Amino acid sequence: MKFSLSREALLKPLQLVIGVVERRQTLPILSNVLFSLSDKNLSITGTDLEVEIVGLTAVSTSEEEGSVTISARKTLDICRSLPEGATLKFSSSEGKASIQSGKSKFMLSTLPASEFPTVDEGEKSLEFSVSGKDLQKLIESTSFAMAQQDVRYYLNGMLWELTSGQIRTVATDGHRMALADGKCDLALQEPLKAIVPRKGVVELQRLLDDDSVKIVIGTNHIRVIGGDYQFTSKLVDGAYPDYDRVLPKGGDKVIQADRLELKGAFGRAAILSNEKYRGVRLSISEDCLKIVANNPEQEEAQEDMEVNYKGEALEIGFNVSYLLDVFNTLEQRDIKMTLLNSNSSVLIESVSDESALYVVMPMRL
Amino acid sequence: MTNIKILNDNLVNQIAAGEVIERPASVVKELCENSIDSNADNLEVEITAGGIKSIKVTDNGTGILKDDLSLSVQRHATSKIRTLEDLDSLYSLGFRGEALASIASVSRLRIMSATEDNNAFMIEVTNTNSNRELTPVAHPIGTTVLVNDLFYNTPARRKFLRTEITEYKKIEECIKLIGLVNMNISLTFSHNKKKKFSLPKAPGQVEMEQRVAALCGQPFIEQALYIESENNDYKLSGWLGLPTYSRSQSDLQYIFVNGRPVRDKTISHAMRRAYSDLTYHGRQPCYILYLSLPTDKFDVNVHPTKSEVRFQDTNFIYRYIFSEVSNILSSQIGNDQNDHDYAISQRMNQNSYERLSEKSSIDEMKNTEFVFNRPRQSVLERVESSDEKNQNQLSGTANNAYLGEALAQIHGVFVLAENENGLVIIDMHAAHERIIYEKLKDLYNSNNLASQKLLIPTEIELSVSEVDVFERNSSYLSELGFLVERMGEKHLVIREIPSLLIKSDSVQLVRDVISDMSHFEQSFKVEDKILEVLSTMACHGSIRANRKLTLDEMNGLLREMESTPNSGQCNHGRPTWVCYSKGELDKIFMRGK
Repeated sequence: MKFSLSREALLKPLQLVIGVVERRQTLPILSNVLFSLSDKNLSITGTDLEVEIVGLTAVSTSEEEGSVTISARKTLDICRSLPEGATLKFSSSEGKASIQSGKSKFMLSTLPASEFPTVDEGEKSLEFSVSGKDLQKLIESTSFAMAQQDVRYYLNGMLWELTSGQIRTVATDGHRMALADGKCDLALQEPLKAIVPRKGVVELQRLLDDDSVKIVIGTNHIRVIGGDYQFTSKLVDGAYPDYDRVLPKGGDKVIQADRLELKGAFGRAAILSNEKYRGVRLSISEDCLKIVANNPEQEEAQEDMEVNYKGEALEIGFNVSYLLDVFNTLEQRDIKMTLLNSNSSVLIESVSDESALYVVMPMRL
Repeated sequence: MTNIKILNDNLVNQIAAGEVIERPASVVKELCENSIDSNADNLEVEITAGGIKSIKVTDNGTGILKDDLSLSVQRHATSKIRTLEDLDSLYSLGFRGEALASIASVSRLRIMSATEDNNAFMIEVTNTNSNRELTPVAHPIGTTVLVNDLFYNTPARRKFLRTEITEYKKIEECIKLIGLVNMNISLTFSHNKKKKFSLPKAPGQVEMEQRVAALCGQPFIEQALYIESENNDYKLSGWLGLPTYSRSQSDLQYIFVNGRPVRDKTISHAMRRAYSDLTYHGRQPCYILYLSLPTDKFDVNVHPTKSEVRFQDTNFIYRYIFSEVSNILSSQIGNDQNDHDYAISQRMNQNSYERLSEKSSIDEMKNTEFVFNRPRQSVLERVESSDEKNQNQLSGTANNAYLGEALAQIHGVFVLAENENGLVIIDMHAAHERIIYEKLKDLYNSNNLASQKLLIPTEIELSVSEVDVFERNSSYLSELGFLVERMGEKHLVIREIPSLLIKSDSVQLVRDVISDMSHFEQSFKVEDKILEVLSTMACHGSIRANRKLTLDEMNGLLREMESTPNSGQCNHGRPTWVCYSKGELDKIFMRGK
């Protein structure tokens, strides 16, 4: 394999791919990326066996086609440290690859391309297009609530539920839940559910831009195809909890307030909450919200805030981080919090836009 | 004609012997216990060839009456109890009336005995001879039992005997147990005519410690804390090895209940837990523990060998032992494995006290005992009242500053300090970690528990009996911030978990708790998990190696260590400081030679 291209043409796809290449590896080939050249198009593939990303770029000159694998980090570091606008000459033969640029020359060892693991394509069941911006928003609205290394493995990911004309994302870690709806061009007889693993969600978030993307969902994988990349992830095989059942119903105590004011007040109270479990106490009375936080050193923060509330007084405790996550994610100015009693969860959403909603379970303090 | 026949006495005895007489050591145990029950205060045990060839136990007890001699070897014949009610108020070690009969059925037995009013007589019993004739002999008051050729008539048993050395070790262990309990009896033990040990009576604390040293080694007693406490009818005493004096085997853990060596899950679990965050991973603590309680509060008649007991109130026993032992352990300061000379004075947490204790070792021991039975304030009071001259010096921090003045920091990890005894080296990270850990524990205990409600409750499938165990003990989980409910016959559902544990695997935790409950009726899994979280927090919150400290900071650390419980070990059981005495330093440089 032999080709040349500009530093920038190589840097961009490498940076897209590097996220899935784990730093520490038991399988040496997984710390490599696959370079594959055909028809003046270079594809660079990185994988961790769960998520695979292919970055595409065009080369300036192509002398010999072929494919080889080469250390991802080292190649990226070389590429990054070369001067801007430099031209790289790449060639490989017999277990070695050389990168030459100006007066610099690097010899890297390679592993054969045939040993590089590929993600099985599997059966296709659905194919559609969606705007990258809309998809990005859906992911951003919910990804913070995904579980991390939970034994209930299906919570370590994001549920995508597709129905005609709509795509819905749901994430929960068992203590709070986020749900967002978006439009898409899709006609379906039966709704389709897929759980995208946490790592896939995080990587996809890095890839998406405003351009429209094509999404292919198979029985056990999902593929997102953009202009200069192709993202493939295995799906989590498992039954996602019935999120409809945990949506609070019959809440009759509605607080309306300004999001930034809430964020400020809770953020300040959080400073003196217990650093491990971050409990705050809320006392709600007519048009008034009082937030009290205590820490083990017997220090106390108190915030009084004017809100719009008509109803009985209520006391309830929360993990303040869970609330702050929601206030940070919502974008609209006016926020609505709906409560039933101090043992039931709170439903948080924007007053004007109902496309995203959040449920947080209270704490017993 | 019938197929079912009543077995003859001899065979019945042999079957019974199978349970009681397992090996030579069981013979020694039974015979010694008989001697102890006969109020002997001198006991001689002689064995040959690991006890396989002969065992001879001589005592100076009350002896056996002439007419009782032939009865004594009958099955279910005993002088120790008369009625069933006697079983409930048992003070003797034996009571089943099986031992001599069992031994007689599997060996050649000879008993010689004399009482105050009777002359000495001898009886010889073997499996085959049935004429149990009494012959007059010369014997002082007391009894001698001679057991020859054990298992000569039961080849199956004989085949299972180990080598002489192994059998000897077992007997030695058995004598050790007897020696540890019966401090008021003098004991000699010889093997193949060679004297192995000879223990004089131990009426006082010093003699007792000498005996423990003879049996368990000098290092143990030097690095042990004396414990003595009383709670209503329950009494606890013994020696607790310092957490740094640990072993890889649990072979220096002795538990005696009313003078009887026992193996008990409840007590050893309580001990394990008391030592839990003090001993290094995988090491076993050492202890000798005497528990005495009213005879109607426990049952020894569980198994013929009586190594098991059943307590009426296991919960109380558990909590009592755990709290007493952890109190003593947390009041001790640091480790002193490198400093035998000063072990005692370190144990007493008083530098100035040392001068005082030099006067008399008996005083010293008594005072040691005293120190650990009272809270700290009274330690000071006691010292002050016993030493008027030093009274003025014994005030404030100067008195407690046993870690001395900080001098410097080396290699970014160790703090050097000088105290009256010599040089102190402190691992600053380990020490700081323990200080923070103890603070976190305090804060945790003094604050209300917060629990996180679960949006998606977690279900656990268990067996029906496990779910029943849960229902009986559900208060334990709810006290710690769990809300777990039964759902159907075999399912539990977790609705709330303690906020500190939201990152843990709550299903596994609840399962472990229930499994503990069904085995020990106790569980500390949740507390352990919480301590683990606190310990990690402490590790992250403490100063790291290579952090430069000023002298003031170092001294601050030393003073905090002095006021922190358990500060001799870090959370993982490693020592936090060592002390090299002036004497040891002199030795290194061969000064004064």
